Amino acid sequence: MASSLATLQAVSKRFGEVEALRGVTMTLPTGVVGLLGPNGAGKSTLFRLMLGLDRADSGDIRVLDLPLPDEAVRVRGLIGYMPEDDSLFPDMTATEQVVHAAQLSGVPAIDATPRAHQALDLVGLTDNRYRKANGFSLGQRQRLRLAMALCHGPQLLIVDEPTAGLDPDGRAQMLALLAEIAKQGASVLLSTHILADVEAICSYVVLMTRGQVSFAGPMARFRAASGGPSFRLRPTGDVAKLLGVLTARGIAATLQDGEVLVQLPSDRVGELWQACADAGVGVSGLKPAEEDMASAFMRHVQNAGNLDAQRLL
Amino acid sequence: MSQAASQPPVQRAFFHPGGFAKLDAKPLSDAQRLRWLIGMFARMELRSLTSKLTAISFPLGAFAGAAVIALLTRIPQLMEMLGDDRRVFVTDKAMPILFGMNLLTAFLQTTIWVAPVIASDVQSGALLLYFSRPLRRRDYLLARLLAATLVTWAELASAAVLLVLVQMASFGIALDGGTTLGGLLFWTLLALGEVLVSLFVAAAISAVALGCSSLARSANGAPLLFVGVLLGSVPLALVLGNIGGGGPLWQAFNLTQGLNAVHGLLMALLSPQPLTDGLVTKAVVGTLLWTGLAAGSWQLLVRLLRNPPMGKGRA
Repeated sequence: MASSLATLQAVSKRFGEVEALRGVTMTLPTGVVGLLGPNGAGKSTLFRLMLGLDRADSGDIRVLDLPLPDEAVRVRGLIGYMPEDDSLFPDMTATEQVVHAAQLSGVPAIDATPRAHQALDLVGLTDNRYRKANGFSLGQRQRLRLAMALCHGPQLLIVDEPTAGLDPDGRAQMLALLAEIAKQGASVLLSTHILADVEAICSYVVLMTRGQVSFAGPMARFRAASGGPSFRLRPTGDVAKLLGVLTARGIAATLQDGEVLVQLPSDRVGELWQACADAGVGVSGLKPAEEDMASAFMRHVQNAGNLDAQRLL
Repeated sequence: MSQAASQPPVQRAFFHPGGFAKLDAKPLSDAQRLRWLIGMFARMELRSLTSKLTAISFPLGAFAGAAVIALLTRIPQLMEMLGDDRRVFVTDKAMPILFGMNLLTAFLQTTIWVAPVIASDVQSGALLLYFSRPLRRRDYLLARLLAATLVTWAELASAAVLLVLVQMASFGIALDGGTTLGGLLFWTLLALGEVLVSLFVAAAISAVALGCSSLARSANGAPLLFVGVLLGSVPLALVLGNIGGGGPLWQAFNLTQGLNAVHGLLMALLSPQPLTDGLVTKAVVGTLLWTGLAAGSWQLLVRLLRNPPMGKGRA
């Protein structure tokens, strides 16, 4: 098993006048990684480079510990890719589509058919396996494309906007499937515009804006409130007195929904306990404060210089 | 209860603890995958009912020819009219007529089933599905060309060999009072020549038809372009003939005539009739023209697939 999904070192890619990626450097850990970013941020270009479909103008890329583009063919054998657009082989039944995809990935005929049936069972297309995919609903087509992406048992599943256009039920099913696949040991790289999808299943987030990585880190850090680490404290006793003591100590604190939101570096959390003791206030709960995904996304995008972040949501 | 037993049956089959279930057999090698891809593309070409009907029409021509020959051999007056010219009948009448008929069917088959395939793969997004798998672009292109060539070649050659066998059975191995060995050599060379000419014809028209995808870039436009190239060559040959003062050199610019001349040259080599200079010129120019067109088409396809329209915005 690879130590990381991908490592990119100063990767740049230009299409004519457009600079799609600008010196991207990051390491994607194994697990479920969410790739966020507005349109034109460079997400699709990143996928194409990771699949070895395009060559970077400069920089080094390693996917599953293999260097690209030298090992592009081998890398593609270890990856399952579910593209965003409605790509299917024309005039084939669901089973044929998956068998075809498996054999293209090097699965011998003896294994391809049973694995295709298993993959179709897994994505919930058991009853539609002999129907032509032309007549499938959008949700069925998405699930079929997922079955095609995972039929050869990839180490890494790259899924591009898997829930786009799905109804809430279909979306929940798709996310549950991806979570299950990740639980079974495959890593998932999920690109989406839907913040709630990333929130639901991803443990690591990468935010791209204008061809650069604006943020890359664990989900908890992505959602950590702005202005540095902060805490949400639930006091028992005289809250006003506590606020006074905190202010006197130069610690920013506000009351919010009966809880005190305190802005304080984590290595100074001892001062918080001291302030509570000075104010004679008990503590029934203390946890790191988090923003909701939308606020966190807007803040990171705005920090990256894209002031029109609201429009992107 | 163990963890495996508590999982639903599907997951137990598909997943093993720590990842996907291992494959039972060894993964396909690159060469095996290419062979599989050629077979798969060939099956896709013969998938629809109409393409099957077109394929069947090739040996139908041979069957019709066989029926005529069987009739001829049973009518003594007609056999007397043929006299000692059975070899001429075979090389100058039966085989060229069948080749001409099958060439038109091959053009039709290639126009409908070969010309649009790569453009169709671009439009449907299938190209991205192929190239996101462990497949080289060159292999995809090679598989497309070899599959189309294989199907057309099999259809052309099987019909020709069938007619050769029927004629051999009808007229006898030894023709026109010759020896059995000489007759056997003639029939063998005739069948072998037909197989080789069919291979050249199939490869050349398949390459040119596929190349139309790279210029037209639409599944509807590519067949029209291929037909345009074939039909456009007729007035082109006339115009060039007028400018150049006529002659076989310019006639070969009519692409259909060029291929007929290649076949005609083979027949002339086996015919007792003397070889004409015009035929050789036409056959050579026809061969060069089709080889050039095929090579150019291949280059166009290679260029298209170097940076193919894939993913969002490909249309």
